[in-house]
Amino acid sequence: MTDTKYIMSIDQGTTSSRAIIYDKQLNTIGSSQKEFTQIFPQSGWVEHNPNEIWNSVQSVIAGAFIESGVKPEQIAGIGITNQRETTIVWDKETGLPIYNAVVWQSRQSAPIASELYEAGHSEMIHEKTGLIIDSYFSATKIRWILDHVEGAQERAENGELMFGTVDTWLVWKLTGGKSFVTDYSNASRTMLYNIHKLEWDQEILDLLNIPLVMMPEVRSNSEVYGNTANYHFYGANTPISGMAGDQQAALFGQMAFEPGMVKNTYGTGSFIVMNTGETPQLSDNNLLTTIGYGINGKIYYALEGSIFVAGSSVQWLRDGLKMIENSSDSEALAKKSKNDNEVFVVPAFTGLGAPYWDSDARGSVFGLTRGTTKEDFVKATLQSIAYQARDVIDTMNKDAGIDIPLLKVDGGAANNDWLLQFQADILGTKVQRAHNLETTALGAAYLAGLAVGFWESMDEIKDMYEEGGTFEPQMPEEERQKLYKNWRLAVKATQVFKPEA
Amino acid sequence: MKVEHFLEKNEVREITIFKQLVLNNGILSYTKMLEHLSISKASLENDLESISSRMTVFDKQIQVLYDGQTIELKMSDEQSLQHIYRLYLNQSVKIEIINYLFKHKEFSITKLTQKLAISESSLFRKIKELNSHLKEFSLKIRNGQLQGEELQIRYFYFQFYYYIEDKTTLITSRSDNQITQAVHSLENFLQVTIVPENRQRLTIWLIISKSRVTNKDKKYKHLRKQMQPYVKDPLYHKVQVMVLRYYSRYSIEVDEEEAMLHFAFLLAFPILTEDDFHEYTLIRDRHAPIASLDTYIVETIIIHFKFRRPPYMLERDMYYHLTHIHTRLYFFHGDIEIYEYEEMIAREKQLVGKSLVPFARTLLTISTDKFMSIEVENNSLLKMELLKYISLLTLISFKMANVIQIGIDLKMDELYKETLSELLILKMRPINGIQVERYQPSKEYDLILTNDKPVEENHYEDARVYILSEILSSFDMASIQRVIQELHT
Repeated sequence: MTDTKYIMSIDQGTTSSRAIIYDKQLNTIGSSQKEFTQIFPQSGWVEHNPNEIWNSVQSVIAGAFIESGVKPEQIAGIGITNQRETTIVWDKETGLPIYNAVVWQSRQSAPIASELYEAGHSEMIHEKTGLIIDSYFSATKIRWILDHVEGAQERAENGELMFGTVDTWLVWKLTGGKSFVTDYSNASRTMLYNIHKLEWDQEILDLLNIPLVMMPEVRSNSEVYGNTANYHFYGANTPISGMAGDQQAALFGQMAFEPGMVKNTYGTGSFIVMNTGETPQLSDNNLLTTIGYGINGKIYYALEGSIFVAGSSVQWLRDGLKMIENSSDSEALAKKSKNDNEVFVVPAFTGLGAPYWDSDARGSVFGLTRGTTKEDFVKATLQSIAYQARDVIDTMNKDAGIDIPLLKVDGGAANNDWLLQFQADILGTKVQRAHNLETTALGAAYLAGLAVGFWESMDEIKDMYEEGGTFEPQMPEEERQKLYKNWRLAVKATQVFKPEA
Repeated sequence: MKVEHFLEKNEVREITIFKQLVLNNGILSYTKMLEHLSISKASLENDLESISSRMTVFDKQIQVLYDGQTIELKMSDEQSLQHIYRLYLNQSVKIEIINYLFKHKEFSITKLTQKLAISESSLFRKIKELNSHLKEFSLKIRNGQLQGEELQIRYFYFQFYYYIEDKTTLITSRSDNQITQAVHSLENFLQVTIVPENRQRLTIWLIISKSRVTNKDKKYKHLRKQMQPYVKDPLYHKVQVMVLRYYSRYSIEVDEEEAMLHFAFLLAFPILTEDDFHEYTLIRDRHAPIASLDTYIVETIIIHFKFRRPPYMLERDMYYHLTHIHTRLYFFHGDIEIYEYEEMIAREKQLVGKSLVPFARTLLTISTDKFMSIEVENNSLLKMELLKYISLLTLISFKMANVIQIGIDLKMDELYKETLSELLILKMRPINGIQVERYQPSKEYDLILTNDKPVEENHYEDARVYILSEILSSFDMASIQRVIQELHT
């Protein structure tokens, strides 16, 4: 028993931390999850206590060991995947954060982002980082912390402070302060990393007056970054050998290793990421260019587009409109709908993302008749998730010029067969659901396992892929074109409606 | 070590007589009392006479009446068993010896025999008896001194003055401005608020520390070893600076281990409030095994109870209590059993069912294995910390318990049905987290108690059904409690 080895995946998300122990055949042997406090100091600000994140990770590690009965020394490697962009600055000597973690959603550094934009740095930043200036990314958050904590700038310049996204913070803590590293996928979300030269960009650092000395070393996604200090891993010195931001980890977990492979995670919003191969493709339509992963000396780039409202539109049906009791009811209701897809819900509750980028747009409904039923409304809402995904995927196709033979899906709503069939129909592309929907944690596990020889190669991993259902397009081409045309019309009409405040 | 160990054999018997009377509604037959004490009737009569003469100080507020057949306790509402204990302890020579040792740090046999007005041989006998009980603290009275590790000495004195001696007297007679300032310094330096009850504990500790600080040749071997992983701990660092600054004010040169002593005490006993403690848990150094053990035990408890999402504040509470338990197990050995261990275990079992006790034992084993605790013969600390684990588990199961709806559906003659149902309801009243009533077909229940197996399997829908073997029997009551416990988890 003690000879059997396992991989532990630590999935540090926005609301909770999880640890999952996998065996070689990818069976989940034990897992544990812990939520932590969300701090909202002001409207639009979201923060976490970095030490609470750290303690929650310690708890889930213990929980996974207790539940599985696996001993720490049986863990061959640890993979970390994390909420991206969330920014932590801490004191090198004491290890104490100088401010709360500023979470990716937090808008407190928006004025700094606006200044950069207004000063005309958009093009330069886009070219170098693949990103569009936004407070979402770490760069302006670091600047904000250095501005708002007394003496922080000076301490940073003196090399007394360290910056990290959550992956860096966790590795630094787990190794007892020995490893100060991040990986390509997380670095490429800071808006400070030159994704072509693979280095922190001095010009952007200077622009924001962020000292290079506080930046972590950027490493590949699959290699040994350091070993856990035994007091932080229940007695064992275990290699931490895989790391990736959550969406990139999901891309890897979906085994989207070939250019043109796309994954869509249906969560509250939807995150669509496309592997574009070894050359970065800058988007003409405001999609983000990012590093998907770097492994075995090669870098794979990706295009990323997100949909603001996906699963949350079903929550709106449940909690706002009280049309359904449980999210899972939406599938049965959609199936009952007898209309001819003439209702369109455009859930632009917080504006429209790629490729429209219209933050002033608001949600709308079209095509209602006296005969429209609740079932029709629910169906139209589910369809909106699929239509929006097509919007992004079409844009990716246009930007990258690569055909998309297959869409790989995961996330909560991927359990909805009706949605996935409609997604395949409206895309005209095969949709494949992963058997194990925990692709984020799986991706981190693969990366960790590959680095320590737990799995020999990516081919070995590919052989283990188990699909949880494939959905072939069944809709006639004419019908598909008609529906999508009408969707675009509905979006256009939505964008026209800009009532006076 | 037990409270009774400070008393003579006949005094322990007399105390036992009071205890038995309290446990039996204040009255007991001679036969039962003799059976319990395993003594002759003449000895019992002697004890009762001794009790009567001692109780005169209470001016008839506490009286033991006996007539050769029954023994009865009369006690006013203002008095309790604790007052009786105090009376006996106040007259204890062994307590006087400890008090003398604390005050004078050392003694000569001549001086002490004069002071206590006892013979040398009696003094030697009492010291020998005390030493046999001090063994679990790894302490010994030798050459007129209390010898052992400094942390154990202070810990023993703390237990002694907090639980055995009259703490109010100690605080009134020994607390001064220096002590008050020390408490203030601690509050200011650590930026915490110490609430009155915790302040009392801290004051006693500081009085003891003040009395011991200038002692020479203090031993710290075990403490130094245990403190090695704490070198970088932020709280320890603060305590270190605070201790040095505080004593330098009075030009007292202290050992570097002085801060270690205070740090161990601060974490082992509830001095900080839960809020302040929580701030520390967020930043504490995990080099020391206590932090990781706390986490491990909390997760073990959560998994044991199958809690999906325990309330955040309950989890914090668990950490607070567990750190105290684990710090004591890590730094100390020996304890004064202020509660009767067996009785407490039996009572807890009654309250929460049997299953929690073995689980608490498992937790204790995990902890002692983790710390590789020193094997100390008759270490009462293990017993007392086991009780604390049980209490914590009880607290958790109470806090997490949903109210279980129970319906009583007896199939019998209406008059019996009504009476027995009411009696059953009455008997179940002390059980926490339940609501019991006579079964109403229109309502939903979690548990049905009936004496007749229903013909249809889903007669009571989803409710669990317990068939009573003998209504009101202890067998049924124990089984019902087990079922309730299962339903709670």
